[in-house]
Amino acid sequence: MRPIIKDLNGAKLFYIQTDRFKSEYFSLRFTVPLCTEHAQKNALLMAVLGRGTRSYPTKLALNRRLDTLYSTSVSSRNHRLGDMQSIGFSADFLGARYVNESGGILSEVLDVLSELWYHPLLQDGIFCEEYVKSEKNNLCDAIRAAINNPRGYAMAKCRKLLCPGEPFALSLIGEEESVATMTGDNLFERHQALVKGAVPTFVYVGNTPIEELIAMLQAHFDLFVKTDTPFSAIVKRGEGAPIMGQEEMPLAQGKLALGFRTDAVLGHPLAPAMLVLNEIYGGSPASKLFLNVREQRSLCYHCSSAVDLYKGVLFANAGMKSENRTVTEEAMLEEFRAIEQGRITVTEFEAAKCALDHSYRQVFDNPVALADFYAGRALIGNTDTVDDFRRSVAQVTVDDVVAAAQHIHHGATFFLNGTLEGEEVEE
Amino acid sequence: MKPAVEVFESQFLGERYYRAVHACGLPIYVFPKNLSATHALLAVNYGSVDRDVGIPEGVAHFLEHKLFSNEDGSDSFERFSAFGADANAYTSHTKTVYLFTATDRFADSFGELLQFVTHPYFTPESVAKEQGIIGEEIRMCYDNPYDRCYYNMLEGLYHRHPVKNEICGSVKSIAAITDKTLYACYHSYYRPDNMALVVCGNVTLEEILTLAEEHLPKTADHTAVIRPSVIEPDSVHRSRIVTKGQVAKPIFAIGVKDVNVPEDANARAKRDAGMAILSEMLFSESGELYNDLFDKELISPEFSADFALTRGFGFLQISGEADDPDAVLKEVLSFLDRCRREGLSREDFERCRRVEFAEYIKSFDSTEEIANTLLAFVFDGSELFAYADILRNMTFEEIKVLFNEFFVPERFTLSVVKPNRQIK
Repeated sequence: MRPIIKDLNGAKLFYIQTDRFKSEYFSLRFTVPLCTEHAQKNALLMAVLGRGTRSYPTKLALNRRLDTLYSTSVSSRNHRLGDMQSIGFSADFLGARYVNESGGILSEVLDVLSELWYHPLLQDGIFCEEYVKSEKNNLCDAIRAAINNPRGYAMAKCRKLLCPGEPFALSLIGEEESVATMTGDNLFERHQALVKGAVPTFVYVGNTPIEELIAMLQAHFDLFVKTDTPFSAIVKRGEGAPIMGQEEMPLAQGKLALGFRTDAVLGHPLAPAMLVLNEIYGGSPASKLFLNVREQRSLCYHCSSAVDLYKGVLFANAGMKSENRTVTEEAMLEEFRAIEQGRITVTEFEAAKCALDHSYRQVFDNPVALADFYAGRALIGNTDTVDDFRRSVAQVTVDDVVAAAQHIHHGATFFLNGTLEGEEVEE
Repeated sequence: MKPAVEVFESQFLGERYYRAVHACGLPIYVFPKNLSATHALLAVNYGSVDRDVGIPEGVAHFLEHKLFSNEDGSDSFERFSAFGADANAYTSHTKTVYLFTATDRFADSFGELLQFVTHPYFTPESVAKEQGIIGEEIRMCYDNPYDRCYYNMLEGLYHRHPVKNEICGSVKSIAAITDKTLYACYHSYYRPDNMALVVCGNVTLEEILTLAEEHLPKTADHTAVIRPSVIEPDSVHRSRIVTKGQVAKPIFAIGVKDVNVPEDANARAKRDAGMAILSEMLFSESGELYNDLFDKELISPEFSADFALTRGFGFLQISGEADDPDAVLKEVLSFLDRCRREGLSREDFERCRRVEFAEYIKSFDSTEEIANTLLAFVFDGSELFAYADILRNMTFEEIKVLFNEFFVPERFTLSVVKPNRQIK
């Protein structure tokens, strides 16, 4: 399932034709530099755009329109990709076989997305003040709600320690202090700048012929001008002692996050080996963290790792009794040292490769995963197919994994100390 | 002798699945689907609500953890990983499910699934070790304010029904679990005719039956599963429970107790479909109530309503985040009262039925989702494809009757988790 990639007046279309699914997927994405000046504004902008358009001026009108389009689901996007921010809208809707309208509802769905992006509800030429005010409140709530998810909170703190001063460390929704500076005016300016300057990426997974899709896109999205922003990510391995951070919360369990940096990012010859390394370390139930820290030593229930090779970071995290923090951290680092020293069993190595191959095969079953795989890699100039990538993982050797381990460095540790007394929990 | 095969087909969806009962009594469901991943699950009709007298809370979940350990010292998770499969398990109020997804070496993983679930092996030492791991899982759940809010809502709704008990149990209750407890519960509930095997993916019925034959017992044991009966009053236990937790803004769950859970499975399926349409009409983001609450800034954007209905209990949960959850409850009750006086809208009904129908069609795009949905229908005694006809044939009059019967103000409870204290 290799996508057809078309250039449409500077915009890029990824077209993946398939009749495997009953539903279809379309997304409109803009990948822009992640920066203090714009990150929060972009987040707020997506929320305000979602409140109403010229034809569907309220959330109620918009949602009812989507209901009539057979429960089409539209979601806004705000993702981190390297040191970039990817924003936009995507839609999941029923394919032509299951709707009454001959030829399907793709054109109607594109019409709604086009309305959302180009024709927001305006009052006196700027965004509706009521919507801006309301979404500023919602944004403040969302920022404060970080504490509702202690594991995510610890990971975000660790990310900040690991990449201080870099765009990657920024929150995608910004900080509470700056929300007050957002106004209908400056938000509208930001919208205009994006409409005029940002290059859209369209991704379609479905069964409409490409000529028809292109004709629909040209009818609905005709206002973009090309000023492509190249992908960027500050990549470094780092050195020296890890930066440590700690806070307290009234929790039953402490949450520990370890951050690592690597220069073996996507495109580096050791990138496939780095993915295998992560699987061996904490990527699956056959990993060292799961089997040795959780199963053998019963220190945690949750203990795993995940890697992001757009930026070159790996985070491991665990939840444990706060008094077990030191022993757990030491156990997690010991498992990492084992990989560095090549103490990897054949079983661990083969299981890691199998798990990775399995997860890449599953990309074929999920329109969003297909879209993310191809559109994401294209940003860094990579046109490998999923099968190409699987082949490169299959060729990884234990020596490659040990070599990859020399390209990764433990740069930060954050501990969220749970201060609830044991008996409060055990009653 | 080959088992008799029943075929279920939906021409509209272009899908079919098969049912056969193995000689040991295990019902087997095979749903061929041409996707890369095949999803298999072996489930036991046994969950946290099935608790016999003297048995500690959390045994069904503890069993789910412990079954992965084998007599030879190996761990089934590792074996699945060696085959490249992604294995997992979960315990709910009413069932325990062991599952895996494979894109290669399906037969090896399938054999492992049947093997480890049918061969329990527990020792005092391994039970003690698991108490540490599950203790951490309990602490993790305790730190989750949404879990706290949910269980407090159940505590509010139910006087004594065991659905109110935490699925994992407590640190104290699991300390009382021994290898003998696990064996006793295993033998009471892990009986082939109290289980179901569901496979969805790139497989054939013949392939599954042949593989199952290699791993399953040849004969059936027909000892019936006896479930403890529960007498639960219609009234709610507590109409309001407020606690503190690690949240920035209060979160709430409004619970509505269903006191008319039908005995008959088809009637239950119909009630479930009716409540799905009704919830969509009343509480979805396309509804008047949501938009009114949102425009008045009484709620944050995330607001949802889910109806749960299964053997013996049912409830509606309306959840969200609000500075003043009591005011939200008041608005909800007043909105429902207005709907009662002024009547529901036929147009809303038609729109929401269409939404439910579209969601039903979309659910057939993932082998995992198909297998899990099919299992839910199997354990509830109804049929997956018949749900489309239930939706098609539902009338507005039936929805109006359901509305008037279900939303009785005395059956409401409010659970709130208020902010604890700020981070130091």
